[in-house]
Amino acid sequence: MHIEAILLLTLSGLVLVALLILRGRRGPRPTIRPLPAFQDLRDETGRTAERGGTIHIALGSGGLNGEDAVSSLAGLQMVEALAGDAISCSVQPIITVGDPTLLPLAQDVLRRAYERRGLTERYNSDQVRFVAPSPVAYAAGAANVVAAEDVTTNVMAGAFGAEVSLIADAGARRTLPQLAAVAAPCAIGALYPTTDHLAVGEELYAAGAYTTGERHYLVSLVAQDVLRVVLVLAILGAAVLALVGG
Amino acid sequence: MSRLVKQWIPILIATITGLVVLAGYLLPNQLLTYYRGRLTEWRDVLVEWAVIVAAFAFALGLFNILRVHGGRVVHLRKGWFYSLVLLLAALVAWIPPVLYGPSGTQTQQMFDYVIGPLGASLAALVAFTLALAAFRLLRARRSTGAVFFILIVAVVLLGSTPFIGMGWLADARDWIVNVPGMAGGRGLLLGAALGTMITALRVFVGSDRPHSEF
Amino acid sequence: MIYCPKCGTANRRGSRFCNECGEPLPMGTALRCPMCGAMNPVGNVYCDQCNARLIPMTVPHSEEPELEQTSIKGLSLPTIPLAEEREQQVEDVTERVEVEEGTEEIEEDWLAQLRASGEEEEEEEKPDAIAELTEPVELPDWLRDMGPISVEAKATPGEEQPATETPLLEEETPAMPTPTPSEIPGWLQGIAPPEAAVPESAPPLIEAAPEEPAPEMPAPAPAEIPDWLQEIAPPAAEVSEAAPPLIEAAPEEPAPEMPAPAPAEIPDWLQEIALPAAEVSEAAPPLIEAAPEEPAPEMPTPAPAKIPDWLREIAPPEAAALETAPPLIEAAPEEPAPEMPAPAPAEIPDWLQEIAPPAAEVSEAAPLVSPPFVGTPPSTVTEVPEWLRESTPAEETAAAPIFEGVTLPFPPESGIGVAEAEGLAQAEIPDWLEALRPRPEAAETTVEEEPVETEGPLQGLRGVLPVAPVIEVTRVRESTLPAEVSEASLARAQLLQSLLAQPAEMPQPEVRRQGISTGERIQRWLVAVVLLVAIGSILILPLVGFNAPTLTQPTTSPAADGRIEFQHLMNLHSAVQSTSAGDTILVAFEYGPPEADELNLVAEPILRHLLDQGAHISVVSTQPEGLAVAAGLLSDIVASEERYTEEQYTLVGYRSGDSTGVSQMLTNFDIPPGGKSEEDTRHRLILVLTAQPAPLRWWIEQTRALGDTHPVVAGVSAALEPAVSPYLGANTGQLKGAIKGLSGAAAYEAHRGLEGQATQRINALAAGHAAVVGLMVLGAIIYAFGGSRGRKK
Repeated sequence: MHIEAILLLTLSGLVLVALLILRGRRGPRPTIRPLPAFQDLRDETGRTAERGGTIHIALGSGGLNGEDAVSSLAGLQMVEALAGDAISCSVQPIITVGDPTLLPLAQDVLRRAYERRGLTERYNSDQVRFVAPSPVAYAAGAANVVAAEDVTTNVMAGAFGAEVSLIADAGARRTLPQLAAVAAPCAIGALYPTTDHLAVGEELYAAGAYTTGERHYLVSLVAQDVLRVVLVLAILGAAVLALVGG
Repeated sequence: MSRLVKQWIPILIATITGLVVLAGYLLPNQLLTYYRGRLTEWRDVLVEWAVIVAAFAFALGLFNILRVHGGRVVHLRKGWFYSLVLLLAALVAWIPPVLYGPSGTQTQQMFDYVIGPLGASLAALVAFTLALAAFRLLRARRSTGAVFFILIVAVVLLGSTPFIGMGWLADARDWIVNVPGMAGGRGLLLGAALGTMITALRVFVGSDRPHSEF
Repeated sequence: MIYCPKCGTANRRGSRFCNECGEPLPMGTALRCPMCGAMNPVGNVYCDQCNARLIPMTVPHSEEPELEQTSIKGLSLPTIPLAEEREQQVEDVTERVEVEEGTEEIEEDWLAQLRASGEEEEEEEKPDAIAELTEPVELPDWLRDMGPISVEAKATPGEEQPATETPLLEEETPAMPTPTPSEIPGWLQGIAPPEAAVPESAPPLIEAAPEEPAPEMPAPAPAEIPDWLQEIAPPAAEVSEAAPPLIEAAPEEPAPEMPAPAPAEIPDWLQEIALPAAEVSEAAPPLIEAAPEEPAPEMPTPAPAKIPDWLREIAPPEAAALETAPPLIEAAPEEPAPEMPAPAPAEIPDWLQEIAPPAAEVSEAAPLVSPPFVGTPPSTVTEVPEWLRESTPAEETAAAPIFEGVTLPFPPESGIGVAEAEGLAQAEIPDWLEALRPRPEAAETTVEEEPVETEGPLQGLRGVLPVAPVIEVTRVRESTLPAEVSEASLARAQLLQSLLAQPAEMPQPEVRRQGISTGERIQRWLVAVVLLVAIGSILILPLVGFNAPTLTQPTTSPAADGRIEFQHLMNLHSAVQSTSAGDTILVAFEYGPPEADELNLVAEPILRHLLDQGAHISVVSTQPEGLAVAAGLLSDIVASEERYTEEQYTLVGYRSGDSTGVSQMLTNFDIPPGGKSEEDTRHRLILVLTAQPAPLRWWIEQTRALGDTHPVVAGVSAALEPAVSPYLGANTGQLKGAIKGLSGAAAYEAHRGLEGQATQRINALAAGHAAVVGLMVLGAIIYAFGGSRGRKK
């Protein structure tokens, strides 16, 4: 019996639901600390429009039927915001996915972004591309998109491994502004030397709050902070007990 | 169908399904044997459905590849030749499993002599790009952290292999990997796990609805 | 600014007392804004500070069409409201003016107000309609002499703002500077000196604040009157006290008495028109009527003795009193214009004869802009002067109506021959403007031709926009203006047309693809060459008969080595060593072709060990390519040793679903044929081969969740070492043993006393590591002390 998991889940659920009820619709808007990785992200879209070209968003090789599902959903939240800005600037974003289960969802997010701006006729389902099911093959295909097409901004957000360095290198070859949001340590090491803005770990899951600014994302960030404090206290307490107890 | 139905039915499906699968993993065996058994069955059924949907999603992905690259070939857009090669390669790779089965000799040979080397080449390319990125590290990030990064990488790389006369490097490498490296990695993983949990709970309670247009 | 009525000193707006003499300043010199409290000139309709409306809008009293009260366009002369309206307006104004000190009496200082408003106009930035309309128009000197004109809106709160109260009156008239002698034309200089003050009782031309006394206007000396005017000017005539104003704005205020100037003071021209006291009616007809529903005030008929010759010639002798004088511009068509008998031709001066139409052709409603002097009843023009005749068709005695009910002596499209009037030179019209002159044959749609709206809020009006969809077919308007188009304009028009004819596509900016710079290429080649040389040399040299340099020395006794890495290796070795023949070992191949080069080298010594033990290997995977990789590796291992057989391993299958698939595989795992029963598989082992942390976690967690006590060991990639180490802790016991990367495999082989693939490749690995470190340090040296960022922000 995973009593610890049950307890943690229950506590997390209670905290999140309580915050959503209390601050979800009214009251002061939760404030979050600025993240350097996302500060210039939306401005890049405008610069992309000025430079003429498109924005490439790589969602990684994670799908919806694995433990990378949540990482992929977090990447989709960024797509929702970036695609909206790109569409408003008459920029056609290109989205690449490495799992076919993510393909229809990414297409739906992009289509809704066009619909919200009344530009449904400009939506083309070919803007979302399934490259390959293998992570390294996906990275190679996405790198080809960055290298061969008129991409002027490269964004990598989702489930990646060390193979993300292929995509980052393709962008670095063309000296493109790049932003990455990944949770895996392997990918962090690969992206650190090549990207301008890097969001690591749980910052990936904060991407939705920073890019869209929607209230329920902000509230969930607050819940995450509360749980993090609880977890840290629990770890410290356990360490102290272990030291004391010998 | 009213908007109420279109909005709430997907939320209910997502929430109930997630709770059933989660309960099947977490509920204790001794507490609710009967229900846990049932829950386990329900969980397995739902997972089976997810696997089937994922399999059909592969078909969607295949159609997407054909549409994107086929359109490029038909309209002779930029890179049409490489798209043509891709389509032909996919067609060729499809033939042996269909004719000889997935475990057939020809299929295995295709895997051993074509797919395997291609994958290995891509992995080697990853190594090359990592080395190139390390070479240009200070060009991209000129900071103390970058210098520290270089030192750590050098110690770990040289300590990972038993160089003659560099046994002390191995000890240093072990310490770096097992103490700060592991701690940082665990911290990242814990934070990512928290974010994952909150994001999943957000989908459970219906606050985040990626499956719905409302 | 407010001018003191006593000393004439200019005081700040809103001042109560004169700064110079202490005279109380009239209160009605400014309007306080009800919103912000700022003081505004009396003539303001909107506050200068906050732009709030000072004079509220009023509801129309009558339901008569608004057309009747439309403003006069193109005419610079202000309107004179009728008597009743004036009374009402003055009442309204009086009520609105704030009495700060509680003073109830508001002195009439219309002249001071005129001057004040004239001064204030310079300070105000807001342009007003009157300024725009009147500034370009050069006011005659005789009008300037009357003082600054200040116009006040007549509307009161809650009442209708008469539409005929033109915007001219609603806005403040511009300050009329006192004309200098040089500005006054010669013909008028003799009439009135520029510095002469207007008598207090002199009626203003445009009276805006009836409560303010009008400034005095001095009577021009006879010597100043030009000859031509002297000829027609009557002898000094008595000016009636109740000389009606030309344009009266405050009806209820009696016209200030104008003292009858001495005969020597009254100019001849003025004497002529001075009316006998008995014959002057109290209400003078206005030049421009603003309130149509009010009857035009009576204009006293000047005494025949005092009427100037030129005017006498116009006016009929028997028309001693005109009860109702026809207004110059009638705004109320329902009021019949009073008949004005045509003057005898002999009496009409030449210049006026040219204007006036023949007596028989005079219509009843023929207005005329009469000369702007007091007491002169407007006369029907019988003859049109030459300068007017050129613009007026001969058969039209009445001017073409500008708007309904109103006629002017000359049609607006005639190109009024103002320039041909005496003393004025015609302006030179540039060619490009000449080209745009409307041709006589151009048909114009007058308002009367427009249909009358029959429904809706605009019912009864003409010329309203038709109800048509917003998006409609563009009507091709036939050009009725034969404008001359230059070739350059034509070329530009054609270019525009061609651009518009192009399909609507988003213009794609030309994207300049950033190619790889030479430095970038050199870097890439440098790194590639170094890696190839370092790794390739170690691998290739033995093939060509050379000994590769030995860079590494794997440990031969890991048990003696205190490194934790070797402890984990030993645990794995012991777990494998404890298996016996026939034991079923579950091996999970959780990697694909990209990782196969490394993990095959890691898995091979373990698999050989298991095969040496005689165990049966059951291969499972959650990835479809895992089975293919396993098949290739095991076939190679079996083929390399004769003692190995293919029956020693079984490819069970692939099960997707990540952790769920692992759970199902563990649950439904069947002992393969030839294997021992479950009771005898106490040494059963689970070996996980992976390069990702997730599959390892699945196997560890699901094994624990199912209560499986069988040990779990792993062979992982070197990059996975930080993720595996927590499971290898002594306290956790979730992972019994593991080897990591090529070095671990080489150590395993060394411990077993074998020299396998791992041992052969370890030197190459070491060379590669050394090459990468060297490149990294070289790059740090290069970019730390030189070189700039390659990417421009």
